[in-house]
Amino acid sequence: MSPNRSPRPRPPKPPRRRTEAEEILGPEDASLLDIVDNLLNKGVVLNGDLTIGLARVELIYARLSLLLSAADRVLPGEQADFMERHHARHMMRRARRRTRP
Amino acid sequence: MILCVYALVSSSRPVQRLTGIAGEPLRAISFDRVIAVIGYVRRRPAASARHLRQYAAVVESIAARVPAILPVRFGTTFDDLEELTLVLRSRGSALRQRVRAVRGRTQMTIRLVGSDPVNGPSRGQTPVTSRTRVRPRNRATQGTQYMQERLTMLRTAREVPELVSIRPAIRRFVKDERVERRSGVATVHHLIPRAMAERYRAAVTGAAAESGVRLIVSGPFAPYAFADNW
Amino acid sequence: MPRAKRRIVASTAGLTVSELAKLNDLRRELERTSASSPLRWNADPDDVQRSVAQLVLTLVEFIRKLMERQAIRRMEAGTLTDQQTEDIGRALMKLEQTVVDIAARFGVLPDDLNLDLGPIGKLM
Repeated sequence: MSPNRSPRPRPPKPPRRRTEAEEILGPEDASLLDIVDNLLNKGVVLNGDLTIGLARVELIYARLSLLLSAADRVLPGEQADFMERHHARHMMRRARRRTRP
Repeated sequence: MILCVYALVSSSRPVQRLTGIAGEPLRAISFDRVIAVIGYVRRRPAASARHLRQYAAVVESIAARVPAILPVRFGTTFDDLEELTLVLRSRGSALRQRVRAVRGRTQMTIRLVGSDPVNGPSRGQTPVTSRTRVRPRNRATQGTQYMQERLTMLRTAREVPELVSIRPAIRRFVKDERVERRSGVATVHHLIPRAMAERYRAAVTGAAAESGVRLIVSGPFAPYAFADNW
Repeated sequence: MPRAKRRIVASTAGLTVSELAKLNDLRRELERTSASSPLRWNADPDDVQRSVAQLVLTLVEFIRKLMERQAIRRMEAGTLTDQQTEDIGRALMKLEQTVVDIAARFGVLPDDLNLDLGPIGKLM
């Protein structure tokens, strides 16, 4: 008894439902948290502002261009990322295990 | 006109014909092997929802065209090129390292609600008062003991217990991780190969469903959370 | 205006209403902290000494914490010798104690050593 050969049917694409977040927060707000978090709380910081005052009167406004770098990011020869190093160690262990008789 | 900086990238050519949040043409300027994507605008952009979305869109449009991008914080402006030059020249080495680290990769974000930090305050903050000084220390090794304690606190702050059941499913994608706890929400950012975004998402939602963990996964985004290496 | 690629947010089916509200709280909290003018120091004219001490010691503690974080990363990565680890740990301990002691003399509590340092504040 030969099986009925027919091309495998594709499952129908479901209509895109609004997620619960969109229902409650609104369709735009569903991703506004990520946008706010990424843009206002993260990203490279290149400068900052400082106001200096006396007796609740702000007198001086200064722009600070931040020059902080971790020393081992600047000095040559230091390995970079912990995760990369961790991964490298993991790969070395795996390689050693493979070559073991 | 002031300078608005959108991102630091690895290659300048694809930036042509892109526009910034004020519709201004974007330019790529090279500072000793760090390339900044900038636009000249009239005033510093205010952080309205509309501007934020526009800025995010600009960053993603750049990200789509370059292999490596470090988004710059929203609203970063300079009065002139000289100041930007000074900043990028002095930090060039560290920034180049970060650009290399995110090459070919993208950010995915997992958020878990109701996560209490396992130990102490959030974001790895360690108020001066919370040191345990009661335990007697061997005088010869008290410095090392101190360092070990701090390392343990740091590792604990990085832990997200709810993710334990999920990690095996995504371990092979994750190149780097950042954890932040704030306002009762634990946020985990993962740096993964760009091509793996949908596989990562499927793995996370699958593992979450299996272990009954409620979370929200979003992305892919340009690697905002991986702009620094602290 | 470049057309942005649509970002997909995974279905939040399963999250309770209060959990979604918490996410909204987080968003508002982030907006709030970024909107406030980051770095601001305003000396109290009635207690200038205390204000100055608080500013100076906060900056010292900030730098100490930066060094500590970096040192711990190096220890974790194995790029410090045992002796370096011991020496740095001891120095960090002593520095912290010094900051707390001097602060106490000016009536500054340890919890006051925490100016909001804006964009770099997250390092604390």
